[in-house]
Amino acid sequence: MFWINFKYTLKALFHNKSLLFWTYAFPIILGMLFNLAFQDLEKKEARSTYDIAIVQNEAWQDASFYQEAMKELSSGDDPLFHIEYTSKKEANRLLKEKNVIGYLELQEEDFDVFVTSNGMEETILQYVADELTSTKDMIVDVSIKEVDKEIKKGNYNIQAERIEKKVREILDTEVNLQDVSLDNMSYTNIEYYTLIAMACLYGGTISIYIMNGISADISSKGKRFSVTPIKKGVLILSSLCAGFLTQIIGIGALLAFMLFMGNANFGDSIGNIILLSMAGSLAGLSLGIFVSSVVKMNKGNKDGLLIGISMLCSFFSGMMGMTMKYIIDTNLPILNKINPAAMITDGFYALYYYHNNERFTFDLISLLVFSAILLTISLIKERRVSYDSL
Amino acid sequence: MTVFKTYLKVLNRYKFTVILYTALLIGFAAINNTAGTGQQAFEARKPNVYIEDLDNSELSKDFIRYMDTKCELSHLEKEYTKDALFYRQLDYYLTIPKNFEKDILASKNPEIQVEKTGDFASYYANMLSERYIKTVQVYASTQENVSALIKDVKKNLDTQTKVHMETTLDKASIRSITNYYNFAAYSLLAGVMYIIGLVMTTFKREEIQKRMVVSATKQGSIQIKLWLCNVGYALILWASYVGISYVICGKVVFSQHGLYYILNSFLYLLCATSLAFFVASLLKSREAINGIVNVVALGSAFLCGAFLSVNLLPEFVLKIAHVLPAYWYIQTNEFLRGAEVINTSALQVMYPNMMMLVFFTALFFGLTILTSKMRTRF
Repeated sequence: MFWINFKYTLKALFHNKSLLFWTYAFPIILGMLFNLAFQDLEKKEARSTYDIAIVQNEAWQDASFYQEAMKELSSGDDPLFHIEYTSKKEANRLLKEKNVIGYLELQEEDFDVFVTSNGMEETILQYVADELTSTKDMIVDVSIKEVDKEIKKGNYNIQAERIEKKVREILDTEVNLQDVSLDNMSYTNIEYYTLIAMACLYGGTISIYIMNGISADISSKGKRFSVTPIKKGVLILSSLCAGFLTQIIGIGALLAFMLFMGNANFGDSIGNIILLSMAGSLAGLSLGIFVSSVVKMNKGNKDGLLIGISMLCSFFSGMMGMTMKYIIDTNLPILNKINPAAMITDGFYALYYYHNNERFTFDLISLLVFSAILLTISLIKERRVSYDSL
Repeated sequence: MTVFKTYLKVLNRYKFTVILYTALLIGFAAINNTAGTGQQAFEARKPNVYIEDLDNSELSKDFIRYMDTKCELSHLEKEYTKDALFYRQLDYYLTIPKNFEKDILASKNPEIQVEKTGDFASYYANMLSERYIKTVQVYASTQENVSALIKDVKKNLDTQTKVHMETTLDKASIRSITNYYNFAAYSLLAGVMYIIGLVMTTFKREEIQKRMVVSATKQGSIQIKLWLCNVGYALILWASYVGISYVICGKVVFSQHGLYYILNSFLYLLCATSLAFFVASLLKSREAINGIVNVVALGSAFLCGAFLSVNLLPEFVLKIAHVLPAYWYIQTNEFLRGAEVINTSALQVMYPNMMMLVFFTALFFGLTILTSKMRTRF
């Protein structure tokens, strides 16, 4: 009986358009949208060339040091600035119309910076003005000190060129900052992980469909099941196995789409990726069974509730803003400890970023415990179900 | 009255989903909310930096002091810094090596390890580190006494260029209200489409249709009442979102800028309502509503910049997004974010966007009437 019911449940599931949409089509449609929306995100967050203006007044015409420095900053393959040299009035217009992030005006020896907001670009503009001024001061300071030194030594034949050369040499020495950043820092992957998590939870619609099919108070099929001599446990188990298989095929298709056509990176541990996807699918099915057993609503409302819960869980795991999961993890960790979408997302994150089995194992076990708790509660609820009259 | 009561019954049954969309909006807005100070002075942005000091010398402490003036120094436990770097809550991790002071005084170039996220902020933090070390190296060539060296470096690095903020806006409040109304593109569209779709398809059920046909009330009258109920619901939803925006974003909602955000969201609401009518006119059963709402609302939210800043979306995606009403709605919000004053030239930028929303509203209403007529005929 197990296999007969398994086969027919599978057939019924593959004939249900609504379920196929939620399990197969919807996650892949969202995956396509993610591919479109996030492909340039990290590139655009990196430093780019900023448009600025410099007021060409008398002070600027005489400031050869600053002119040279600005020329250097605005040339080469990857310049920091694209500079428009212009009048004060024009610079103001450019700023108001947002054609430049800000403009510099040299007043005697120091710069004045004009901006309209507090962004990072404006801060960098201020920084460059600071640095130019302090570098100039530094050259003067050091030169004076060198001259003093020479005079103290009794050498009155000061060679300005030699001193300047010495200072220049130090200034031109590259600071030995070694970038040891990891390569796997692409945080847009979190979006893809939350998408898989959401797809796993949406799999709950399959178990709601199955549970509705065997509930005598909801469907006529359920009435027929309840009067058959077959054990209810066998029916539920075989149906859920068919549901699990349907769900796994959907998640597999989504993973394949992301790996081969998308921009997602899951790390190298294929075995663990599959294991986590299976545990996530089980959690989704358990959630569906739980909603179906505990909440007394009609079919449509149960689906709506499940989709709502899935959406909320996905939101807290970072689907609508990648940093959300981190914010919840650091401020309200308990919320993500009971959120199956966060467990799935964190599991993939652990595989990608940490290559760490300890964190991954914790997430995997959490998902299994989550499923076990929901299934146990549902089982207790279902065992008590009896009908006075159909 | 019967139609109205039935409408309320359906609305009550599906209220959970509307509450959910509203909760998402509030959650998003509350987390992204940056309270406005009301000040228009320039405040340099500070990258989040974690410094591990292995030298613990006078010079390394001064390095940390300097970074502290320009950055937000993180006091996270070391084990949490890796997560923080990944999620961009930490921009830069700097390790001051052992013998840092000794090496600098000996005119060596010590190796300093850094980890960075690769974004603007980490780039800036890297420039700050470079500047400090370079300044120390230059002064160390003339100075062997650490205290005197620190004094010289401090004097040099204390240079602070005067920055003039050419704005009269409270940027923090404007940022907060823009983020709120951008996210509302998703919540409003989903909330309106979901309920209107469900109500309209409920009234399309065969048994209800039959009962309506045999009733004494005219069909046209029932349809008008239904439309009025839907529009009324949409208006109440919009008014509550405006109310919530006041609670979250504060007084800026009733400033000149705020009123344009409200007007823009109203036009978007009309567009969302007409789209909901159009989608409902195409559907026969309620089954598909959830799917369509999720694809249309989430799709336009991701493609038009409701969740992410528009500046971070690829050019060609924005070109595709031109066919979606949310694009024109968010474009106006983004324009308002940077507009210093709402004058004639500002209105010239906003009006075409708003007109596009009116055009979409008319288009969807036209299509709804066309589809309804075709359905009635066949």
